[in-house]
Amino acid sequence: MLRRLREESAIPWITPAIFTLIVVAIIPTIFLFYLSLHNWELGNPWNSRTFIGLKNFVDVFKDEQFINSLLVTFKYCIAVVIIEFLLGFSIANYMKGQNQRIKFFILISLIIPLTMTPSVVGLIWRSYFNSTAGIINFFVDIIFGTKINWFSKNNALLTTILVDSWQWTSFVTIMLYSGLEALPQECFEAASMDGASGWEKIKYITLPLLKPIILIALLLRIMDAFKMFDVIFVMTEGGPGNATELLSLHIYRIGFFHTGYIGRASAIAVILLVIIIVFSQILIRKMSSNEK
Amino acid sequence: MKNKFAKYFSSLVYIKKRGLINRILSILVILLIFIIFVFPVIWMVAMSLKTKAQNIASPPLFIWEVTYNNYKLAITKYNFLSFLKNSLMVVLPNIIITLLVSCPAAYGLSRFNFKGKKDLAFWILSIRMAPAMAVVLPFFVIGSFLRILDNPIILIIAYLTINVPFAIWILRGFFDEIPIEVEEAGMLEGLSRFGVFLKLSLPIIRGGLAATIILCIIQAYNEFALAMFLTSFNARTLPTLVTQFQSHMGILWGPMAATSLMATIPIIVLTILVRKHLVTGMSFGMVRGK
Repeated sequence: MLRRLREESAIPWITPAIFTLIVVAIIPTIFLFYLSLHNWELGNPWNSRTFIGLKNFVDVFKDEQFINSLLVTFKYCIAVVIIEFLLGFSIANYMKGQNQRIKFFILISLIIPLTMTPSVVGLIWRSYFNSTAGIINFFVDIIFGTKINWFSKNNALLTTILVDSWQWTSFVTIMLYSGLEALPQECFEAASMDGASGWEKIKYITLPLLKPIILIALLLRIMDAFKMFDVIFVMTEGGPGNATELLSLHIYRIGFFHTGYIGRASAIAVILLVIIIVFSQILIRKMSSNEK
Repeated sequence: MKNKFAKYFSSLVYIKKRGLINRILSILVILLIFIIFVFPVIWMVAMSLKTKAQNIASPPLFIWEVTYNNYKLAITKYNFLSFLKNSLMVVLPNIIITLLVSCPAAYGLSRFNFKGKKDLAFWILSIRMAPAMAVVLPFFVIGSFLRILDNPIILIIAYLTINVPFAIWILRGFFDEIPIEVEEAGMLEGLSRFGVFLKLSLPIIRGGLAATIILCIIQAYNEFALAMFLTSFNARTLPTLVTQFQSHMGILWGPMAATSLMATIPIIVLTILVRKHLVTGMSFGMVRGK
């Protein structure tokens, strides 16, 4: 019996999936590389494409707008990850000490933003941040006696960061909370007996024990933030100017909107893909070391 | 003696006071969390029940005469139902293909050992991480060659890149939890390997399977970038509908909110149903939810 188990092959089980993934993911990715090495404009016949090697990549790195978009993406990423971690960690810690009913109530409140369709999130926040009739400025006006133009060149990126934090703080919170719940309670009790303060417990027990989950949550958030498209597309379309033009929106503008430079857009998409692959490799290393 | 009593009472009062302050603080924190995370959605409900003029009133109205006209408009004028149909025509076939392909693969990765298994599993996961725009560009060009742009088929295929790796990872975790002895017992009963998979293992993980299906539905249903660029008129799905409320007179907030709510509420309900598996799903099984 056991020998039969061992002799069986995994091939028939995994082949359909591997075949599917090669067709839907690997071939298109190879084609993306192919496109990135060519000069081809949308609307022109396919035969008019010309092979230009790595010129698209060289051009892209000389392009100020690309560099700007890269910077905007980094700023966005760093800001959302910091805000979401600080808020998420605080809420998760707060939840831990509460009774079952409160935990449940907070959990349901947190789940709601996570389920919202991204394009809907973009639109509703666009209306809430509206400078004249928006609900946010109504409260800002009451508290500070002035209205803020949330979509001005200087504020737009901050606004998109706030919206991302609204939707994804829940993600970090729920991940960290389920990690906290799984921690051995004895450590905290022993620490309390030794007279450790709340802050000391967080610093010497919670953070070190929770480190693997924190890393995974933050890496997943970094990757998601890096490839963010939908919410910002609906909210600002990368504007005003290119104040909120993250890499994905830059690709959209080059490839579909202002110009139809598919080759060039593909080159930027390849760069974005490489950055994401680097992050996912870090994540995967982290995970395999956790598994052991 | 008296002194001791006084001390005792004062400490009691002190604790009570502190308890009260703590309770107030705690209510404030919970209220704040509620306002930040849920109020925006409640305000959306309010928007959907207001007329155009009421929606752009400044300051915003907190008491108004409720109108249901926006829901009527969403269905009659903005074709909510045909967009819903388009969404379902993409999501359902996609889920069926995803399951047919992923269940056996997840089982294979969980139950058999072979060289390079770990690398293969991680390779599958990394496909899930690909940015939407890196998928849009090749699919757009290939789709135009094959003349399947603006056809549900292209979205059904494109969403496989999201759902297949995801489902394989999550299901593999669930299969891993089944003790090997259960399957050996099944084999002793005379079931083939496939019989064990179909009649024993799949029913055992039905809870996890249901959660995986729901999470896959949510991902396909909410997807925006691919739907936006790979369809234009005939196959548009719900997430792209909300972008069509921008007229030359500004955004039509009422119908937009009504449509968005009708589109989102099924998803909110589904997610709350699978909340136990939400953490597992969102972390690709790296963190086990409770």
